Amino acid sequence: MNCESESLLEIKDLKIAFKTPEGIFHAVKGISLEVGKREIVGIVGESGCGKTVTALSIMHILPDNSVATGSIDFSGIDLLSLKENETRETRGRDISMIFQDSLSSLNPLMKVGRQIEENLMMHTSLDSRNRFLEVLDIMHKVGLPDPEQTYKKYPHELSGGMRQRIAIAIAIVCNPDLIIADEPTTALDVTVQAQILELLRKINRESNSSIIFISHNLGVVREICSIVYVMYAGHIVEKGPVNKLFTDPAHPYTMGLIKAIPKRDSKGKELFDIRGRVPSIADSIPGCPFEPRCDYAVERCKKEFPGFKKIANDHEARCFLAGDI
Amino acid sequence: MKRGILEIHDLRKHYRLRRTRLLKKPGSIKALNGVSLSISKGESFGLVGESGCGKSTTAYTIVGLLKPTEGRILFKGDDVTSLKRNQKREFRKKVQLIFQDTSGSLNPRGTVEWILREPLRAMGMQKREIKELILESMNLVGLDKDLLGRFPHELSGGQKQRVGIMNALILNPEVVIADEPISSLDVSIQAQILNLMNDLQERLSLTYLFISHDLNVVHYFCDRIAVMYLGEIVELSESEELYRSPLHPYTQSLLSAIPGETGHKLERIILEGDAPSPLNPPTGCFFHPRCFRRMAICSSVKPQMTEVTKDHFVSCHLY
Repeated sequence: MNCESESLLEIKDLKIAFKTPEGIFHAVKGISLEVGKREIVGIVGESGCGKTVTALSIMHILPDNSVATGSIDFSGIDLLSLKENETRETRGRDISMIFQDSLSSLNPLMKVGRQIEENLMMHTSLDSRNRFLEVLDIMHKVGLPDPEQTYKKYPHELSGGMRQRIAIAIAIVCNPDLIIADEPTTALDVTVQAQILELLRKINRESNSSIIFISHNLGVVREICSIVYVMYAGHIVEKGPVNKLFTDPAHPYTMGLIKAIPKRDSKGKELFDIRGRVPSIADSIPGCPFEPRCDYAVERCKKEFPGFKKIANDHEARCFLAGDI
Repeated sequence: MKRGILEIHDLRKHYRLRRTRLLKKPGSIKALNGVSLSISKGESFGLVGESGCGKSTTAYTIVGLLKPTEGRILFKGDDVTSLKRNQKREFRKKVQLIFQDTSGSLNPRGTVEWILREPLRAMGMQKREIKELILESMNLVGLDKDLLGRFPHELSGGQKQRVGIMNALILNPEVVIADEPISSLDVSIQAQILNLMNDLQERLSLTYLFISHDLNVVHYFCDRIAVMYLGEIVELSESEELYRSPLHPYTQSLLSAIPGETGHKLERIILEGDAPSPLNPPTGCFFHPRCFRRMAICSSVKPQMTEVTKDHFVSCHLY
């Protein structure tokens, strides 16, 4: 995956707010990110940092009480300005999404094969015979045993790993340019997780789809992504190539996250923990949102939230001290 | 084997299923198929395995939330399955459970103070005493006493788990069974809770049975580890040894499947398929349909637990 690859998706200054009876809450506070063709880009962060909401806004499936501003440019189209019926065209065909919990994202009353076929029905002109063959083919491709039998099953009859494969089959059946995978392996066991990651890598390699991979698990992200964005409290605080980010993180939050995972040699030592907790969406923070938990914070951090500081060509972080710690 | 504070011998738990046809014998789900282990005082014993392998069933059976179908549970040498009522009460004080799902295990309609007070009152303590004890233990787990009046939904995930830990520790137990205590928490909070549990173990000389699906965490936290598959222990060893030289093919694949940088030298082994259903387990070794080193004998003969090197037990025909 080279850096000069053309960009497929470009998000600029995306802000997402929710109107509730208690007031307006800002879930995403102006983020910009870019996904190149054939790239696997990771978004990492803890719960409530805005990663899923970002994904939903790309898919145009945010709840009704939300307002999204900024721009999401997908090969020349501004997704945010599309009307509902126009987004239906792209959704599923050009961009598709894999959700975390396949049990609730699949229709419990519909045979899984039909659910894959539905996507073909929406977006292609294949007749029913060819659709059926196509579905069997894609089921085979995602590694489902005995496609003809599995076609007739309902979601509850399948195991978690197999359901996630169905969800992936639905997502890739129309050969999308971009797949958004929102915590696709979180609900799975480690051995099954390894299978699914392998499958996603294969899809990326063979059908040239770009993938946005959202996860809170740094290990998984390290394994599959080439570029990683770290989110905290609605902001992107660091972006960089995966290896640099892990060996030489620049933002204290990224450092903390990496240090907090037990490793081979951490046995018997106290684990590093990031003190305090993630700020609530209702808190208004004038300075750096990470300042109250940061070990390196200086007076200035309380008042100002710095912009991105370049550490290397493709590696930047929103911290005054980035590169100096 | 030396006497452990908590010993389990050949524990079995089978769930009878409803009869589906009139003349057909009803089947049963074999959640535990003869689990034996011995935990010594002061150690952290880890139980790892994938979902459905019987980790939580083991925990619930030990504390008496489930009744074992067969087998014995010994606490300090006494069989707890046949305790009298008042002895049982004493046992429950001494062996406590920390739950995985913090929001599900705390009563949503009670304040933190009420949640903590209730078990103490059930044990017949005086009001004054209770208040003191609660304040003291709030301090112990690092919670501010302003939180006493709050309801669980007003707490963060980490705070809720601290209340859960407090609830387990407040009666001064000797053994604490922690069932996936950190898996519902964010990464930065997980480390806080692990450190807290380590710290409490030192201060209160606790014995832990730590249940998790995360091998890295178990390796970090525990002295000895047992690996479970489909209601059985397939490998048991000192934690460093298990990590360095896993013997059972299942343990090897589990270790190799840990994503990201683990410093593990194993080549990635990707298992085929999912764990089979405990309703209809395979013959012979339960792992053989997924095993990458299976032999002819594996599908017919069940392997026995053998000690391959000192204190390293495995049940596999390869050894």
